[in-house]
Amino acid sequence: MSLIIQDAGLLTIMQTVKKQTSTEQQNNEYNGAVDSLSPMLANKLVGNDVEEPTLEMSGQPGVIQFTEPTIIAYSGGDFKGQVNGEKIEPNRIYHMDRGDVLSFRESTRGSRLYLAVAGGIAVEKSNVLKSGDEVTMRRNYTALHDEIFHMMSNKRKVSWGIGIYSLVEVYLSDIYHIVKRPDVPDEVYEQLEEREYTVTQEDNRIQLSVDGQMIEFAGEDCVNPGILGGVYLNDQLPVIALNDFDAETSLTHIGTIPSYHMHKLGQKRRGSKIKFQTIDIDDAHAETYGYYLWVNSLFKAIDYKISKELVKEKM
Amino acid sequence: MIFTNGDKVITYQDDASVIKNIKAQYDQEALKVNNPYIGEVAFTKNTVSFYYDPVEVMENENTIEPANYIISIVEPMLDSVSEGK
Repeated sequence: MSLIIQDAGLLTIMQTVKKQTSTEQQNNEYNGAVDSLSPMLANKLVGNDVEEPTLEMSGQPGVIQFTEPTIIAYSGGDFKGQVNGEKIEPNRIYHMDRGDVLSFRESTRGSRLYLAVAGGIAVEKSNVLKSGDEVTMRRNYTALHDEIFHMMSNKRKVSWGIGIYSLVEVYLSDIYHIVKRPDVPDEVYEQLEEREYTVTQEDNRIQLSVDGQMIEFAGEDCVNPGILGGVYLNDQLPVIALNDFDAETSLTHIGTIPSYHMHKLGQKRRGSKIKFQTIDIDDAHAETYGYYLWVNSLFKAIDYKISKELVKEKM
Repeated sequence: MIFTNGDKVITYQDDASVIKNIKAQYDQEALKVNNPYIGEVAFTKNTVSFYYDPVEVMENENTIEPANYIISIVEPMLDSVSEGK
């Protein structure tokens, strides 16, 4: 039994949270989720290990049929879902029955969602899913899963979820830190900081291109590494490397966006604004650590809410 | 030139001949990058990049400057190779 992808939408892919350099499943690229926070939240809600692979759906999400009862949650952009006429919202726990079909409307904010299934999922062939493909449920259930299944046995959803206000701080800002390179003149960063850029397009999971005032700088002739979050100049305009960016590039590299801002970059859509703010590495690492603590506190809050719900169910 | 390439990567950039030498040493395992905090090591014609988890370094090494910690490990290693080019 499995999930059936009735309609693959624009791009539906089974993806790991972080880049996997070695994988048991050959010929598939697992370069990590573009928004790495959302799949962890969805996994946490359904009782999975936070790094369990999820379905990453970009642009127009797919339509999924469930062939056996299971527990799901999705996180990411503000995509409203629907199952048998019932509204489904992001960042909540839902019980799906055999035959249920989950579809989504267009997002009002964000460009991707991540769907987690209790017990995990796997694909037998390509992780880039097409209409008609099946996704296997791994059923790697733990005692927590059993309790969540029991808790959800008579209801479609729980009464609580992760509120938008909990995530505002990390998703809604248009400001992106950039760690400077020592060989790039300060004037380049001054130009970058005083200008605002508009996202023109995303090459699926490869790079974000922006429009705005040009930056007049040509670095030395060098083959640079393609780094997640790397900011490069292409025709004097910044492009930002996403997860599937080339491993190396001859484009001029002017700095790199730290990991703690990459999840919100992964939700940018055409027309979104981007402003850069330079930061030195010590401040960036302080922010990295603050973000790590914040994510852990959010996980603890989810654990608390689930355990409270379980206690309520037992009483 | 060695620099912090974002918050999770340290990159060393040099002439192609130097990087070629470092890569050769790395491939022959003469350049031992067996530090527990350094994960992937990625080469281009002009660079070698070391990936690390800054939070892990900060917590385990009780430092607020994980980049300096990683640089203090890789720089002497790279110097020893590039001096022998």
